[in-house]
Amino acid sequence: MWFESLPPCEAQVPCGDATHAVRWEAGSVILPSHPDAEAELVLAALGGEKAGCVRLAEAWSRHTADPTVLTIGPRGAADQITVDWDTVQAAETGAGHAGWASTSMAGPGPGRGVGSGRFPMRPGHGSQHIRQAIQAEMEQARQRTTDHLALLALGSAFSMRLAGHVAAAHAEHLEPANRPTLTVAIEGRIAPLIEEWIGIDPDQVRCSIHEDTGWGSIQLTGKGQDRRLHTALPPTWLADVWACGLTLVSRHLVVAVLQPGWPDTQVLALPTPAADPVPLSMHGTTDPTGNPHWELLDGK
Amino acid sequence: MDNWGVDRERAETHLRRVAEAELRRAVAARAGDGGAPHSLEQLLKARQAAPASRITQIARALTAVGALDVDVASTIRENFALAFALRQPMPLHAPDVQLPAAVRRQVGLMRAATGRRGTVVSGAGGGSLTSAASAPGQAREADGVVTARVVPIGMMLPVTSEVAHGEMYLLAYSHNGSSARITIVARLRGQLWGGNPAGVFGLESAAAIDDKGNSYQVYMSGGGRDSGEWTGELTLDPEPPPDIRWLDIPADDEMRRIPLELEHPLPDVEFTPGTHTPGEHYLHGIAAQIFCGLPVLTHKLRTQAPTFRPVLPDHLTDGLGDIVAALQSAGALSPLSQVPAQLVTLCESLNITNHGITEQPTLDLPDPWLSLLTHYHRRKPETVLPGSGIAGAAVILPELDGLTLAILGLHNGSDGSIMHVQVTGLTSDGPDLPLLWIRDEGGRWHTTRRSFSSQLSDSEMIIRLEIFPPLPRTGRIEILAAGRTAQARTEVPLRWT
Repeated sequence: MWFESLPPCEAQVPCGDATHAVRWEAGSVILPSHPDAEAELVLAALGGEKAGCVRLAEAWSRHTADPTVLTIGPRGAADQITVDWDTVQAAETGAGHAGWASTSMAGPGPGRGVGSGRFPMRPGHGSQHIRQAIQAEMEQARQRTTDHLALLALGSAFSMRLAGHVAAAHAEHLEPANRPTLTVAIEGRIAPLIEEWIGIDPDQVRCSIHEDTGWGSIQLTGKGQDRRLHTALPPTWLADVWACGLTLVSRHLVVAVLQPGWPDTQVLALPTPAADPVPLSMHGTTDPTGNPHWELLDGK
Repeated sequence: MDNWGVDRERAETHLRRVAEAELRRAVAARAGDGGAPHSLEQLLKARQAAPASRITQIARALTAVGALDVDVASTIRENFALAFALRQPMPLHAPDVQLPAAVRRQVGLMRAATGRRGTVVSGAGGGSLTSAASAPGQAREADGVVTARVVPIGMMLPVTSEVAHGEMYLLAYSHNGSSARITIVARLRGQLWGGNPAGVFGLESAAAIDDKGNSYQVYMSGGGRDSGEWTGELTLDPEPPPDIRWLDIPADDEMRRIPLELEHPLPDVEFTPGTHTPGEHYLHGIAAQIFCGLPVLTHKLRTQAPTFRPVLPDHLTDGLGDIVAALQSAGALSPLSQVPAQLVTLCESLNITNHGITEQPTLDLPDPWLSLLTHYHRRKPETVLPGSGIAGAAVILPELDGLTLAILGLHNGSDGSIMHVQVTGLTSDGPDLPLLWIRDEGGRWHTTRRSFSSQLSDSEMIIRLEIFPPLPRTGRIEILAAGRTAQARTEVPLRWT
């Protein structure tokens, strides 16, 4: 599985009056302070209060295939997104967010100087069921945004793992409707790496989805200002390589994982754009944020 | 691939790519500030740079040509707006995290689900046709299909009251199968500044009577400014039969008869599908906006300030190169199209240099552009004075991009030249209105800009189009209505009052 190259990570989450640990390990979110989360869900369904940790785990499972995560979330471990739990709570309760509770029904305005007119209003114009539908959509929008903010508040280690889940969910059968999102998600993440690798302006990097067998391709064309780097990579690159932090190691661009594992893994990497990919062995350590840091094993 | 070679997947990828690049730049700029608190100057600069405006411009172009759904474009913009906001060193605020696209979609669906009677204009449908010529002046209803009817009027009703007096000009009658109305322009003198003239004209409790003896309540609606000019409609209630021959309306203490039978057949309309690609059509729209944005350099102004140089509308052209690239990427604009080069010529001949289009200029301009550009550079004094005429006119154009336009008269008034147009077939996320170009008897072309509108229903409105430059008192006009998928051309006689 793609996440075998990732160590566990942990974050502290407000839960009622306490702060609990939430843990990601081997592709699953674990709630150590709630050993019987299913029973808690049953109680919540009967009218009890749902624990903060449980709500978070539910949000996680709602978004493991949500491509929006790739648009909003981090482009790399260094892409700092700071969301605090106060913001999440404000989003959750709608505090100070009057816009979520009401909306303007203003349609195309009549323009300047135009009187209200005396046209007969149609029955059902602005009726109750439209308002209810709007309210329901607003509530769903609020829920989605609260989910996204809460998941980001877990920190970059969780965010990158979630992005990996999303990419893996779409890698098997990529729907045409999701292809633009995945294409730009890969491009937006690999372009800065390529700049660091060979100094090409990220705007000159173009990515497409590789849907055939093999790792894909990288091609450098043109000179000077016309220099372009065209990449074709599969969506699994986002999960296998990027989400696991295996992107640029010892001036090699990693394009695929041959043998996933933690802390040792084998990858396929390019020393230069024109070269054939070479197998490399890596060894990982975990940084304080929970993100892996990889180094080339000596002589491999 | 969709119709016209437009590729929706490439369009969406292009917009996302532009947004991603803008996000990357914003993040890099933030890294460069070292995390120090923003000064007011930095904030103002950041706001002026407005990375989202480029995304908005491109999203607007791609949705206008049908390469991208409005909801998809909105969702992309909103998600990237949230991504921007999350990377700002400031607390999040509600507007940053609202996602209203789904709400708009829901409203649109609910409205669509309410069900409406379809209105079909006689003769509309394709090929060369005579609009309403098969049944001029007739509205029919059979098998649920409703046919519209328009009749030019061009008649003045002198009316007086205790507080003011004036004239009401009747431009054209329209019956769309569900309601009937007469477009009007009213001019007032006396004490009633900016007020509703209904009382003045004694129509509050007016009852019109048709040739069959049916009586109707007449409602006046519309708008006006303090200039004493009121533009609007008289609506009949209940809906009259489709074949009434005249209406008697009380005015100035007597009944005035308004003939509603055509003296001449309505003009022929030439319908030509596929004259431009959607991308070319969009760029023609930008050209029309540029022309409408050119200041009118009147004779008086030039006399008073001979060195006056107008501010050109370069805000319209900022980033045009990005739009051209997006349209080409989406397949909505051929790389071989001449229109980008023509836009370069237009911009540069107006000293607009921020367009960003890389094509070389060309001298081969469309006739309307060349005519308008020549007029601007000659700086002719305007020949039309306010209040110099009302013209009855009526014609129904065939359906363009799902919209049916009925021309319901025009007038030269205090706001310049105004054409009254009824639009049917509107949807919440439908296409823009077709572009209307007008050629007068002297061969000079004019363009139009939307002024104000009266919403008649979810799918119908009457709009007023300002004509640039103002129209002289010409005996007939040629109207060229250019849609995304086709164009219609007709010649309309004008009955001036």
